[in-house]
Amino acid sequence: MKTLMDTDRALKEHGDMVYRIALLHMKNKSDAEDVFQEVFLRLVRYWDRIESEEHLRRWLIRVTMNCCKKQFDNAYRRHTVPLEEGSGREPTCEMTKEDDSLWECVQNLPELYRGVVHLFYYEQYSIREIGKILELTESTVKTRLSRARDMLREKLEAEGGR
Amino acid sequence: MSRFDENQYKREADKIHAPQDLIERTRAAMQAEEAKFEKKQRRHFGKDKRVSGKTHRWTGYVAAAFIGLLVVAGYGGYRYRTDDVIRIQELAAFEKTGGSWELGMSLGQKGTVLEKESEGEYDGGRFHISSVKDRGAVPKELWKTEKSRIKGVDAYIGYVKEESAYYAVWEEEDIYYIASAEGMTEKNFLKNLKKSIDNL
Repeated sequence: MKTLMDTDRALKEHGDMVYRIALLHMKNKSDAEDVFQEVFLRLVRYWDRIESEEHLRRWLIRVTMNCCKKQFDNAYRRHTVPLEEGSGREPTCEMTKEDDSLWECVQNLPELYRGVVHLFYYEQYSIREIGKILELTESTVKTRLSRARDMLREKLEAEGGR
Repeated sequence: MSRFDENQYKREADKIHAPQDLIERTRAAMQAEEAKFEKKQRRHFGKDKRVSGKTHRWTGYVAAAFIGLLVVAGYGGYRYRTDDVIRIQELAAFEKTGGSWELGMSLGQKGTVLEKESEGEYDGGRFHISSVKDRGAVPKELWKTEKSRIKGVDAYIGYVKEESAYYAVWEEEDIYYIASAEGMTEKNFLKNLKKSIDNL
């Protein structure tokens, strides 16, 4: 079964990438795991749309982010916690907290900025590539990245001054 | 520390791995999904893809030869996607259900749940996409058109000459998507349709 072998390979090779993005957005392991499973089940269903290895990576990133949004909306409906698009949120992280954790700093950025920062600094995508993956213009990506850097600087300065 | 240290961020992120038990659970769920999907595909295409051992051997040789030819021809995408099959059928103008079935307006009957709707000007024409939960809300004329295969999805496409409008309908995960385009060339309609299917 070629498809199973290929999707299994995708799970092995890109599982960590998908999990990191899911955890970055969902901030807790349980929701991140739900997103993770949903992404790879979708991959099984949509495998024949995948054109290349790079397309697979980009597809996984986009679908992971979309699933996070969907999962977040569900969580919103379940818990009726007031959340506003683009606004800062209180951390609900279940990970072990470490002092000066940059991961945690990025995780606590407003949702709009997290993905852009992660794709740029960790996945090493260019602004142009991020624009293509997230279907944003290059100027939007640049603006988000610049704002995210400002927010991170402010946060790190505040923490450093304590 | 007041500067974002890219390398530290990478080091921290590198420590995060998908838990092994999650991978195992996901693998099992994928296998179940694959079996379910295969069954659905067989039902959809109206034939059983299972073949005898003998046929299977020959199929293997033929497939290998075919793949070899494709490699020789320098075609790199064979592992991932089969070709699209586009069939556009000319249709008479539909009867608009309850007056609500118009280009650029909500598609479907009154009371139908619209999951998603988007509309925009593309290449000088208008492209509109809606989704409904109720199969009955999709004009039956579209279901009667010959099946196309786009980006791995079965779609039904019609062209209404007197309106210069293209329509397409497809189903994914029990949601029915309806695309319509006005004042657009066939090429651009198909380009937008593929993009929409890809983005779902």
